[in-house]
Amino acid sequence: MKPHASNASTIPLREPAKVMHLERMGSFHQTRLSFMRALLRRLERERWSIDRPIWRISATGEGVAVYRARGPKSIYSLVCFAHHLDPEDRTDRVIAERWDSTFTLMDGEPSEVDIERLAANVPLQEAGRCSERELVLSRANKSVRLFEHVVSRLAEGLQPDVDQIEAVGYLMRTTAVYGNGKFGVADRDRIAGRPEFSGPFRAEMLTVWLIRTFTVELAEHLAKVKSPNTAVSLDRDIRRRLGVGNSTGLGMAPFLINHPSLLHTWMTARETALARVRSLPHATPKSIEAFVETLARAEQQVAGWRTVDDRQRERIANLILDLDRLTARIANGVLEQGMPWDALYRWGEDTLTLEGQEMLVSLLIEPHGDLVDELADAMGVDEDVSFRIDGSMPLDQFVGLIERDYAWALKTDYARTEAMARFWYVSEEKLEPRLGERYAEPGAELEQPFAVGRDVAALYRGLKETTHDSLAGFLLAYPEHRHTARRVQIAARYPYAEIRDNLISAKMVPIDLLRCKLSFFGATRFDPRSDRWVRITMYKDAPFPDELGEVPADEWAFPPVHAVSK
Amino acid sequence: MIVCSLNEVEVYSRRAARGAGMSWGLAEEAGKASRWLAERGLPGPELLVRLLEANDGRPYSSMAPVIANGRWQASDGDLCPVCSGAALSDHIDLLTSGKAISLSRLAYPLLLAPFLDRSWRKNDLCFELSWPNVRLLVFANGVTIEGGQESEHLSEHVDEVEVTAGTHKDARPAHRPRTAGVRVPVAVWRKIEALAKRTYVPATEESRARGAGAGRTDND
Repeated sequence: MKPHASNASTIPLREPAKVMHLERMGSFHQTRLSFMRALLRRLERERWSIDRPIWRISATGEGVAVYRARGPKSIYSLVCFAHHLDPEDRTDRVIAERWDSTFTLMDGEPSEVDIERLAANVPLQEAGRCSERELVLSRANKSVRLFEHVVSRLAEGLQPDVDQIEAVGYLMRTTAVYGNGKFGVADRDRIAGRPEFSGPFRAEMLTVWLIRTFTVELAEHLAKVKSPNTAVSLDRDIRRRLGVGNSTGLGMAPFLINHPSLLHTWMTARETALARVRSLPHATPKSIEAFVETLARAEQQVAGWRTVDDRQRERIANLILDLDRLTARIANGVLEQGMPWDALYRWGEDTLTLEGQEMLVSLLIEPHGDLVDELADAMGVDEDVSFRIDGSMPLDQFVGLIERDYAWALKTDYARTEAMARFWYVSEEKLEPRLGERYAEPGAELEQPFAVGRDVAALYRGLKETTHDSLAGFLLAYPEHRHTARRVQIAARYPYAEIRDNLISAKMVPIDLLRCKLSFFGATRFDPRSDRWVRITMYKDAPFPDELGEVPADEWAFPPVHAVSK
Repeated sequence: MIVCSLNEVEVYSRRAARGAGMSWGLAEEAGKASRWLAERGLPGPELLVRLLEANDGRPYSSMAPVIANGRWQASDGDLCPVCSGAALSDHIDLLTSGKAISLSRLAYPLLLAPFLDRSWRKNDLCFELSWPNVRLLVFANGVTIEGGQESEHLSEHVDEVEVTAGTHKDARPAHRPRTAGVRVPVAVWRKIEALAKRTYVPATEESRARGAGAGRTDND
């Protein structure tokens, strides 16, 4: 008789009021639902094959290469351009105009005419023009130190030093991965109907995974050029330790604010996965074993997580302590009791730092692929559905929505300098979002509408004073509230749509926005370089195309202990 | 001609509308409307930029509809189709309950059509816009324009437009949505960019240093 089996309780999703704060969202880690992981699971399941039909890279490392990915129904090609780059031109920032390598992911296969056309545009990145046959535009710079180390070791017939590989984690880092119509590439609508691209950012994730192979093969090529008689290829186990780096700045920050219904679906998938696991009446021996194994892997991984940032370094130190506590906690059989995952989660909430709590979320989800993986297929949304304002809504009902969903916004005193310290704007120079100091810099009159809390509070005051009785009449009279009114109705429909913090506060930390989004991508090793840009690693320890099907496609996010240890 | 993605059409149209003085919420509607028309092979960006230039600096209160007895008109001059379209979308119940709405003195009536499509999703109806010589039907799967010359379809001003909800069916509307790059005349695109530019903040040494958060070397 299983006492809990028949009356298993269902744990509700964590409340938006608990989850939708930047401090917590900025502590997220990748999960099974992350986009890179979902993509690689699909590529393995559908037996995608990847080859390299074109390799025209010179002895100086310049030229063009093409990688071709074949799936059940479609072919995509990564067209890579390798360039000479003077060291003084090498910068991760969006102000760069030249890069070590530039890339585009093409729908189908490029002809010579296409390659010529792309060669004239892709290396220019934002200043060039792509067509709807291209899906993604990207570029990457070398990690000079590691790249040169790897090339010279391979040329000598030796493998590179594993410590150095682990310290950096990649040969190149991308500094932008543009999709969805940017600079002329195909709109997302054009490809969203294809199963492999039905989830968010799948084409971008495929691009980065293919770039990773290019970075390694470029290094191997240059080693061979340097010393044709002695050069060797990278050992597969060492190669797998290399991911692709990425530098991300404020350009990405507004995404979660601009796509509230999409943010909701991502959060809902993650929270649903957690709730399903917490609702399990019992832990099977197999899931306990997998959990213990994943925890050990996480400890190894976190121990190798390096950052130059003081705040993050302290958080990692605390996370290591958290994982120790967690290991001690599960040692005495608590997982054999009823509702063990829920009990462990609740213990974590009382005991661990936010980094630790959110790592626990990832760890709880990890052994339960059968229960949660299908949620990764439900992380897209048709945003047009929620665009139309329901003007017929009576104003007292609308006011009630604000009071229910935006209490956090109404209680802030926006007269205080600190509450209004920043403003978001688009820079004329790079057409990218930036954050300014309202009381020290010009341009606040051109503020972007990301001061959600302040604007909702203003809308609320306006509603309290009006004599209109429907939203339609109110908005006709006060068009300045139209953007915010739309948000309020979206948030009413999608509870996880809104970040419940003041996004112009002096205390707001922009990289929390980046970390949240990048964790959904599947990034690891967050390394903040300031409060507004961050370096990460993608696909570290993941299989390469030629080992898809041989190496488990989905073990890499918490890599096996032997892969990390020396 | 420049070939733009639909996303570019929407983003730049929105910025241009904001640059020309629309509120953020209305600028969003303008961006969607421009994209919606372009997606159906109709000159959304072209009409929008003409509208924005014509109304540049004009106060909202003069071009927004004043509603009286089923008749909408501006307090001064032509009605703005974006302001009117947003209000039509908000008042869609009037149409779906069977009432007709008349708009007097309206600029660029074709720009009203997109606002009726989004309403359609919720209400299983087709909407009809008519002005002298022209009848325009907005279906879920596209738009049909009947009668008139192209110049009348793209008219910059009509004295009277009537909007009604109906139950017409058309299996093959002439203008159906397609997700492909859109050809926009270069001169039009430059004007959109010029209006969009008004929403950007020029860089200063301070903002270059701080705005993107540099400060550490990244040539490593």
